[in-house]
Amino acid sequence: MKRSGSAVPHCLLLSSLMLGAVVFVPTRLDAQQGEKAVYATSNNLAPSTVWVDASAFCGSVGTSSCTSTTDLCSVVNSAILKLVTVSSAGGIVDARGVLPPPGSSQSQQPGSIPCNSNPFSSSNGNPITVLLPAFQINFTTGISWIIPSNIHLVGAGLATLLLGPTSLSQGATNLIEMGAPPSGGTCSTTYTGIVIEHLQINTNGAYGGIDNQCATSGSYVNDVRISGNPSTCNSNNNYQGCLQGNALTVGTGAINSGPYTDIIVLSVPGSTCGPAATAAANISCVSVSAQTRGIRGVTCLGNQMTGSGASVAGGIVISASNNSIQDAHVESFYDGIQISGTTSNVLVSNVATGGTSGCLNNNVTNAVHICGPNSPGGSVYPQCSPSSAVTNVSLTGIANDTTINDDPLLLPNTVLDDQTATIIGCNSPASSTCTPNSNPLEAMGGTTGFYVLGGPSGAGGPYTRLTVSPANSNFYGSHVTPVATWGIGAVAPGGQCYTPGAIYSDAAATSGPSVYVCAAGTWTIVPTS
Amino acid sequence: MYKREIGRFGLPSVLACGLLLVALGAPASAQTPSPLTPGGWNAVINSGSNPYSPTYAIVDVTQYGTAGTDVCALINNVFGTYNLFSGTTGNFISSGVVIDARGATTLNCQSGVNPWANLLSNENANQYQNFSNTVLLPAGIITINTTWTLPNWTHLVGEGPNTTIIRAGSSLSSGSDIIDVGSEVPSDYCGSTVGDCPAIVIEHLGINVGGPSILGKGIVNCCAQELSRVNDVAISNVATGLALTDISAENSGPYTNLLISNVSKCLSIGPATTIIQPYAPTMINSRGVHGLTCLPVASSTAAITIDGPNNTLEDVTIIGLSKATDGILIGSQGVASGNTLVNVSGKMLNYVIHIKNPTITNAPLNCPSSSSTGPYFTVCDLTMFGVAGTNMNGTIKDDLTGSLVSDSTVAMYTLGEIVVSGSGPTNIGYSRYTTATVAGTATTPWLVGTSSPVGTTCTVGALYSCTGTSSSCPSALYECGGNKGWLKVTIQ
Repeated sequence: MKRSGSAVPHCLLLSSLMLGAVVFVPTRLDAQQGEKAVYATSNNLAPSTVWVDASAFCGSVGTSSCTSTTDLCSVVNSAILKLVTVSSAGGIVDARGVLPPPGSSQSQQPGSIPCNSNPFSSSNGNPITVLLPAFQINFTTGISWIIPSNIHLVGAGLATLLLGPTSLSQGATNLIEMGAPPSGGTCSTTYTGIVIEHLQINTNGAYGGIDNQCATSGSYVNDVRISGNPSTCNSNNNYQGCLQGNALTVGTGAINSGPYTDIIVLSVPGSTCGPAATAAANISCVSVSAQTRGIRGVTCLGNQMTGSGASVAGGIVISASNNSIQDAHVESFYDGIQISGTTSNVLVSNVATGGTSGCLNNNVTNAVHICGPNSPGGSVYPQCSPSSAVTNVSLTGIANDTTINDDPLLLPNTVLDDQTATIIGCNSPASSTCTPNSNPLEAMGGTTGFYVLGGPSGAGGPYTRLTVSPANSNFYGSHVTPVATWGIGAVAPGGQCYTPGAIYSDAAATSGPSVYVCAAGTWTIVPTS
Repeated sequence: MYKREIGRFGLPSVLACGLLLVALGAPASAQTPSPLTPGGWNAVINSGSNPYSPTYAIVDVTQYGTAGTDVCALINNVFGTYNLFSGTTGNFISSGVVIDARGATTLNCQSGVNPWANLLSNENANQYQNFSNTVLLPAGIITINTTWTLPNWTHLVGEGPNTTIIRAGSSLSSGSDIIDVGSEVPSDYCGSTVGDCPAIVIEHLGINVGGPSILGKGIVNCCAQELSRVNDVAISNVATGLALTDISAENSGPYTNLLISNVSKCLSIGPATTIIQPYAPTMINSRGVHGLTCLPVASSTAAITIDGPNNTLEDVTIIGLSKATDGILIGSQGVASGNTLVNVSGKMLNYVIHIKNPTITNAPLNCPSSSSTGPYFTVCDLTMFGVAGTNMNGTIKDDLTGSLVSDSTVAMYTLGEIVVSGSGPTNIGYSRYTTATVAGTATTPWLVGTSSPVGTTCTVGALYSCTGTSSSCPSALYECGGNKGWLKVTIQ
C-alpha cells in the first residue's frame, strides 16, 4: 500500500502528466472539473466519474481555495450538476475539501461559509452521497433545504454544523425537509432513500429541525445533534435562538421510514437553564405520526416551559400505531414519552427520565404517559389528548430519576395511564408520601420493569394488563393507584396487604393451598378443594 | 469500491514539481492556501489552465514522515500540521479533518506516541475541544506501546475486525487499557474532573493483545456520553473486553456487533467510581449493547457484569468453558435496576443469567425497600425476553426469590419489586411473571389449557386457567399446592 520512492521520480511523472494535460487536453479537463484523479491502467492520471470534489467549484476556479466562497450551497449544487452529467448511476459529491476562511483568535472557532440556496436542485433522483465539510454552514435568511429522493447527506461529525437563519421563507416550518412537504394533508408524492447522518443542526428562529412528511422506506436519520443556537438562545436575544419547533417530526406520510437513531436534542443549548415565559411550550424532541422502523437512542432536553407541565408537552410523542422507542433519556418535559391518538402496538423499552443539571423544571413528571379520557390525577397530572384511544402498549425498563429541589409539590411517576386511570409513582420506602430529594441520582419516580396494557374487554370493559409494579397508596405514596401484581415468595403471608386483587404464591408451601389474594386489606388464602 | 484515487503529492514532490513546472513555464503551486500545504492531499481535476490541485477532503499520512515512521507517529504528525489552530496566522483554521492512514506500512508503533497527542496538546493550548477527526486505520497488526486515549469528536475506523488489529507492544505496561474513550484526568481535554467527551466512535477493528499475558481492558469508556459508540469490533486476550466505568458514560452507546473472546470478562457496566455524597457510586443509563458474542476463558467467574441501571442487552450469545462461569451477573457490585435483556443465549455456563441479592447502604433509591433504613437490594425491575441455555446448571438463577429456572428456553422472566405483608411491613417476596414451566425451584408459571391438569407434579404456587367446557374443566382455576398437586380453586 505504501508508495515509495524519491520525490524526483514522482515529480517527473506528475509534472509530465500535468504539463501534458495542460498542453494537450485542456478541453477534456474542463469537462472533468471536480472529478478526482485515479491512475489508469496506462499509469496516466484519469478522472473518476463516480466521485466529484466540490472544492473545484469554488469561486476561484482551479485553486481549490474556497476561503473566499460566498455560497457553499452553490458550490455543492455545481458539483451535483457535474456528477449527474458524467454519471448516470449517481455517485459521491465530496465537499469536505471546501475550506472556510480562517476564524479569528478572538472568536475561538474556525470560520464559516454561507448557504444561499437549496443545494439539491440539480439532483435527478439518482443516488448521490453528499459529504459535507467540517465547519459551520450559515443558512441565509429564508433558506431551508428540501432533500429529494436518494440523497445521502453525510457530515463529518459534530463539526459539520448547519446553522439556520433567523427566519425561513414563507410557509417553511423546518430547516430541513426530507422530501417536499405536501401542500395539503396528504402526500401526493412520496420519497425514498433520504438519509441524514453525522452532523449537527442549530435552529435559530421560530421553526423546527428536521421534518419528514412523505419520505418512506430507506429514509432515516442517524447520529445527529439538533439544538437551538447557543449564541442567540439567551436573554440578550430574548431567547429567540432557542429551539422553537420540534427537533424531528415524522408526519403521517412517512410510513416505514427510519430507524431514527443516535439523536440528541438540546432545546436550550449551552450552560443556561433557558427561558421561562418566552419559551416554546409545545415543542417535542421527536414527534411521530406514522408507522416507522423505530426510534433508538435519543437524548432529549426541553426547556423550562416544556418541563413545567403547563403545556403537557412530551419529549417523544407517538401518535401512530406500530412503533418502538428504545434507549431514550428525557429531561425537562412534562412527559418523557407521550402516547396519544388512536394508537396501538407501541413498544417502549429502556427509558430513563429526569434532570441532572439543577435547572428549574428540568425534571420529567411522567416517564411514560398513555393519553386517554380517564385521568387518575386530577389537576395535579393534566391530561394529554383526552380523546385518545391507546391500546396494546408494552413498557419495559422505565425509570424516572428526578431532582425536584425546585418543586417540592411535584410527585413524579414512571407511568401515568389515562386509559385505565393508573399511576405508578415514586419509590418511597416506608412512608406515605414521596419526599423530594435533591440528590441527582435519587430515583423519586423509581423504575417500572414491566407494564403491558392490552385492550378493553368488551365495549368499555376492563383492560387486560400485566405489571410488576405493585403500586399502592400505603407504601408508594398517596398519589399512586393500586396495581395488582402477582408476587412470589417463600413465606406464608399472614397479615395486612395493600393492593386489592393482588395475588401471591408461597412457593415454599409444603402442604395444601399455596396461593393468596389481597382481599379486604388482608392476605387471604385462596380456598381450594 | 473504486479505483484507487491516488495522485497524492508529497511535500518533497511538490517542491520539486514546483521548480520544474516553473522552469517549464507552468503555473506554480499558487493555489496552496496558507497555512496549509498540499502534502498528502488527494488530487482533483480543475478547469482552466491549472489542471490539478489538491483537495482538502482527506489527507494521506504517508507524506507526513520518512521511511520507517510508524503509523502512530504519522497520524500524530498530521495532527501537528493540520489542526484547529494555526500558529502562523494566529487564526482558527478548521474544525475537522479526515486522516487516511490506510497507506501506512510501518505498523509497529515503537515511537510510543498516542496518535492524538498533538491534537490534544493543541486543544488544551487553545481551550477548544471540538475538532472532528476521522482516522482511517490500515489493514494489518498495529502494535501500540501506549494507551490510545481518544478525544471527543473522534471517529476511529478500521478496515474490519479481522483486518485491522491493534495489539499491545512490549512497552505497554501490564494492566494498561488499550483504548480509552475520553479521559477523567482533570487537566485533560474534557475540561472538568468528570467530563463529558461526546461523539467518540470506534468501528471496524480488532483488539488482540496477544502474547501469554492478559493485560487490562480493551476499550474503556469512563466519560464519553451522547453519540459515542462502538460498532463492529472484535476484542480478545484482555482482562475485560469493554468496560463502562463511571457515571459520565451515561447515554453512551449503542455498543453493537461485538465479538469478545478469550477474556476474563467480556463486558462490564459499572460499578461507578465517582462518588456523589452521601450516596454510593452509581452508574446512569446507557443506550445498550446490541449484538455481542462473548467467549470467556475457563477461569472467568462472570462473562458479563451489570452494575448499573437502565441498560438494554439484546442479541447476546455467551459460550463458556466452565460451569463455574456465570453468563450475565446482575447487581453483584452496584445498583442495577430497570435493565432489559432480550435474546440472550448461553452454553457451558453456570447460569445464563444470575440475579444477585446483595444489599447496599446509602444507595440511591432505585429499588424500594420495606424500611426507610433498608436493606436496599441492588436489583429490581428486571425484564428478560428470550433466554436460552444448554449444558448449564440452570438458565436463570434468581437469588432474590430463590428461584432456579431449568427450562432450556424461557420466553419471559420479569422480576419487579418487593411484595409486603403486615403493618411493618415485611418483605415477603417479589412481583414476577415467567413462562418457565419446568418444575423447579420457585418457578411459578400461569398455565392455560382446555382440560383439567392432572398429576401431582407441578411447581408450588403455580396457577392454571382451564378454558374448556364444564365437563373438561371442573374448575376454571387451579393452583399447585404443596405436596398436593393441582387443587381446584373454589369459587365462593
